[in-house]
Amino acid sequence: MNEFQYIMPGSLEEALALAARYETKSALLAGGTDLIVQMKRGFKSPSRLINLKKIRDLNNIDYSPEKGLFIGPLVTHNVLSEHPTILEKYSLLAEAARTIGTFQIRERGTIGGNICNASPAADTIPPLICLSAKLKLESSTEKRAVGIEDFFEGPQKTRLKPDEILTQIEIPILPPRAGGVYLKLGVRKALEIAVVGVATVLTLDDKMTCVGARIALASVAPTPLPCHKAEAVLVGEKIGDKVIEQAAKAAREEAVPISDLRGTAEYRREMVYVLTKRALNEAFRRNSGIGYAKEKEYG
Amino acid sequence: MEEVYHIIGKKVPRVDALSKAMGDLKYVSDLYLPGILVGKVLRSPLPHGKILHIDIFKAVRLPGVKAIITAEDTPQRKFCMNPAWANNMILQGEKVRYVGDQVAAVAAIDEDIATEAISLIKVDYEPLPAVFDPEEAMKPGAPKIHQEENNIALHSVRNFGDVEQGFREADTICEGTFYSPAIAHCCLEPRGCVAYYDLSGKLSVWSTTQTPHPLREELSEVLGIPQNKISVFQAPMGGAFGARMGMDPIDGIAAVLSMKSGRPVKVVNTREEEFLSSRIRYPMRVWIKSGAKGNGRLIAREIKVVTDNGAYNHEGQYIMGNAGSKLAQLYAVPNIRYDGFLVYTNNVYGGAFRGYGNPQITYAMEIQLDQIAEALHMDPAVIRMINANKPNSVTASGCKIGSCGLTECIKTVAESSKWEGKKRAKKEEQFSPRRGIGMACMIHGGSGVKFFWGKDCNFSSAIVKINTDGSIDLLTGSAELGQGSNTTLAMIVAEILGVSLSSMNIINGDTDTTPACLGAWGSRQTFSAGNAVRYAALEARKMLFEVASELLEAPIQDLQARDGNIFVSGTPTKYVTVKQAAAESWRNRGNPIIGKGVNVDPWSIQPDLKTGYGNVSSAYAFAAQAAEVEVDTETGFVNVINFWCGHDVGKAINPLGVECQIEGGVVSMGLGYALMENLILEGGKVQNANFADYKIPTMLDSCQVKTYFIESMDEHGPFGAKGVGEPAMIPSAAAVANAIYDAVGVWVTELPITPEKLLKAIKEKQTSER
Amino acid sequence: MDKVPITISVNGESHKALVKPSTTLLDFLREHLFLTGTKKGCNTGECGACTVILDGRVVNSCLILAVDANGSQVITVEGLGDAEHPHPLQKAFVEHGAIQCGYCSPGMLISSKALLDRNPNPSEAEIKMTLAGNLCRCGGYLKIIEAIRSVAKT
Repeated sequence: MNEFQYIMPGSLEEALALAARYETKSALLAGGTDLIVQMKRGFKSPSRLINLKKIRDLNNIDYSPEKGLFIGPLVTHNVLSEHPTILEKYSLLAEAARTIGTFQIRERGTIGGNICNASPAADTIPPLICLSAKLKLESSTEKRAVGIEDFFEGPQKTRLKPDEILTQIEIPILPPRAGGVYLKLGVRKALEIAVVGVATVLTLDDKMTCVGARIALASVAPTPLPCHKAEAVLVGEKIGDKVIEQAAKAAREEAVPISDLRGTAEYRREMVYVLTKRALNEAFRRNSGIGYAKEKEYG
Repeated sequence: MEEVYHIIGKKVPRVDALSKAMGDLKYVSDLYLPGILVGKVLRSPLPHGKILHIDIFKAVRLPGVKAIITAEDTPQRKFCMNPAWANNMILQGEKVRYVGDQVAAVAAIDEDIATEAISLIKVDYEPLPAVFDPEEAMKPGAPKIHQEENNIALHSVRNFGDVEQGFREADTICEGTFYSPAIAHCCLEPRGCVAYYDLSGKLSVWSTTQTPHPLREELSEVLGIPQNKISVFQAPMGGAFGARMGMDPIDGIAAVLSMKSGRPVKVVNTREEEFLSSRIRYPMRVWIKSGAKGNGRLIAREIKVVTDNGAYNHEGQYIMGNAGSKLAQLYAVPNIRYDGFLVYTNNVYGGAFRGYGNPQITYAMEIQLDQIAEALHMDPAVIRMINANKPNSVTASGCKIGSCGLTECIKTVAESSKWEGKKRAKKEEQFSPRRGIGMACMIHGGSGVKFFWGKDCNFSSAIVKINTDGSIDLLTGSAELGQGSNTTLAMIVAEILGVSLSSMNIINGDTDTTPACLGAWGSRQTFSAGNAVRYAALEARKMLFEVASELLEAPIQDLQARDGNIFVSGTPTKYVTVKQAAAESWRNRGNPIIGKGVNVDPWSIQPDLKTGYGNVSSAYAFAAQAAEVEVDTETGFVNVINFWCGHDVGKAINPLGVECQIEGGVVSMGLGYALMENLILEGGKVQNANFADYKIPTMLDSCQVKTYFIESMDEHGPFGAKGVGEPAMIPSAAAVANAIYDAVGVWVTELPITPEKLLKAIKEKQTSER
Repeated sequence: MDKVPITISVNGESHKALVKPSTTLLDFLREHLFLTGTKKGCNTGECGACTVILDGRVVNSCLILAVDANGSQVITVEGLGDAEHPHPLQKAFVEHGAIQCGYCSPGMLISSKALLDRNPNPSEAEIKMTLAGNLCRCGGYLKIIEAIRSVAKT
């Protein structure tokens, strides 16, 4: 690891003031489970590390039935995966957090880190896309909100400006008959980066007709991928095997995976189809959005 | 009459387990000597190239750097397990031959400075054309990697019986090609060495070595220092599995850095270096043809193998011999031909790895046996019973099978796994996931082999000393890798002397104080070192009994030792303690109790170098394993649920230790080898040099394992025991592959059986059925 | 770069030191405090051999900067027990054969202790989920699960 200056601001204002001086190449330190590894491998060499962990306001989870869910970027994956409200109302996010890395990584790694590291394989991002999450980005001069779909430019590239910090993730209330799930495929059952990940949220009316569909994929494009064409197949239709099949095929068409160490493009495309079908079936089963599904094994 | 032992056969916790649980035991990277420096190695980024110039100008001036060495600073002697094949050096002077090859090294006051100094060394290379596929490397015109005419390091042929005739007589013949990739050991502890060359010219080396005495010999030859000026201490090890057999370049590098700097030097691989340069399991492409009679009896077997030797010789020649020997050994097939090529490439080179060529060959043989069974409409367990080796038999290759419990292994595993019922279960009625059960067997040397080091060389030696307070020192040249050999050897001594384990002090793998032993490999230590300690304990006991006989006024042959006492059999109340007898011998007879034992393994020989004929092991271990899997037919994901393992271990000296070896072999290695492990090289460079991308099983991937010991009581083994270390994982991958076939009707012949590969095979089968 | 002063409590004992910002907690424990029980298996948070408890949380110490642990409480394997009074988990690991080469054992023990502190009676599934980040190449995990369950039952 290169040598660097280490600063631990005590407040958000202080952190923003530091970030504003971005002529010094800085990195924001949350859990460090991505950043420290990248620095050790020489992929990143910031001259200054700004440790955000003293800023308590960045580590809250707030929920109200009117406004929705507000997650601080420093919330760790284990906290996410065990939080009663998230388990009850946004279970796919808890599920996704639970599949990340290992228990030790989840004790330390944060949702903010997962988002800003912007790996195309990140597990929390497809659920956040399906939940229409908005990211609050702040600098010392500006506050703005960006829909999560608009946040990513490419692998490890986001639209976060050099003087900005992600300060909150806002997730709107889900309609009453909404159910979601996150499925992840790997070669073994832990310590896996997704070969393919599928998140979905289905909203139904009381006649079992789909009034809202969200599908998003991990590891099959340069960024986490929303599948709007596949979603369109479902909206307005009565949920059943045939329409799920069509939607899964559409998702397969939208995916643009590459071949790499973890799998070929061909296999990944096929797994998009298989996992999307399974995810939609499961989301349909959970359509009330209540109840944490029992531990899902890979595939 | 069955013997009643007081400790043999009992489940005994490891003697060193508590100190490991406390975090107290010191491994190489935990060692500190005053003034110790950190050593780092500069490794080649090229797979093949001439070294034109090495510029250390900047590096040597970096504050904190105490020594920099290149090949010129070493005696530039080539080394190898067998000096006749030596073509590696601890630092390359002329050419680099693989990505990771050692070019220079630095010793500095801390790791950061050493790492920075490495980055400041500038090496000018002239890149040379490289070759990575052994079949390409064999062709005329391929880039020459060494001085020889071509890249064929060895062409080995074995013929026993008449294989052509055998195939003519066969009623069924199957043929196929199998591939086993590069596999990394993934010891949790990276390899390391602390070396200190002091002012008197004595070199002390603490090394993660499986072979302390041979290492001393190798260091002596490579460095030109007399053997008695070199002390090798086998440091406690975080795993070995063959990776630490024979000298590693960093042993020599640490020594030379110490010579140059005048200070102790510690060199420890990073995890990335472990993957880049860890002397992998030799990749093998195996073409195999088997022929059987209508009754299931195998009558002929032919194999052609092309093995990727990698850039340098290490143990490839021996591994080819071991792999080839299995054709005639497993099931005593009467007619065999083996044609094997060991080929240099510019890939990372291979070395010993649990099974020593056997897992690669067994994968091919045992899948093909299931294919033969299918062609004959025979149950795979039944065909194995028909072919099982028998006790007191001789194979076509001259291996004398003494004790053999293979039939019992197969029976036990078939019964415990409820094999019959599961095989008959209607597979077509299952949806996804589909369940299947499969079996595989194996044979392996259970006592070490006489391949190495000379014509008749597989020895161990030990000394047992009994002190005046009755406490015991066991000095054994063997290596404790974490496999539990110290505990097993101590149990043997404790049984013979009738003492408790807690009265024993075990010193192992210290070339200053322990007598020579060839070390831990070939699943040999229980048998070979076990016999050595047994002889030493018997000699010590004889000295004790001589004294006790006088004190008790009883003939020696009537005496027994138990619970720290020596007494006349049947009259335990009339006794002297071991302590009393030892003190009496020391003080009043001037005769300290020292027993010496040497096992020269007289029951085996080095096979004929040309034909391969000969009884290479004194005892053979056998096993049958059955695996039960669930296959997700839409993703190809395989979930291994159960393993049943029947192992002929001769006698389980420490059943707890044997269970540990088998569970570890199946779950931590066998499953990985079967389903997920593959060291991926592109252009000679390892692409997955970390634990995220090179996958070994995690606890979540574990399955249930039931172990069964078949105790065939080998006549030469100590208390009947044979080795189990390697057998634990040799048949596991084939068992999984055969179970997958039972579930979904496809065999994947190229390891690992990843979900993607399996799905492809399932879809191809579905397409061909339409 | 200038060194930074830190104060870290390790196994109940407070330590003051000056460290480079780039020093990991793992290297601080091993090389400054000579607490070598915590092992370096990969240095990139993948094998779990460096697992410690940091302010009640189980973490890979190779991914924590020592400066980031300033003011924190750390528990390492050396803090679990000693030869006279081993922790029940240490005793169980020894008795059940859950230790072979021992390199993964400190990390396993720490993860196990943290698990039982959180849930005194975990299911096998929960044990596996929590300890999946501690790799073992020798032992096959089954005896470790057995050892943990034997302590959990009592």
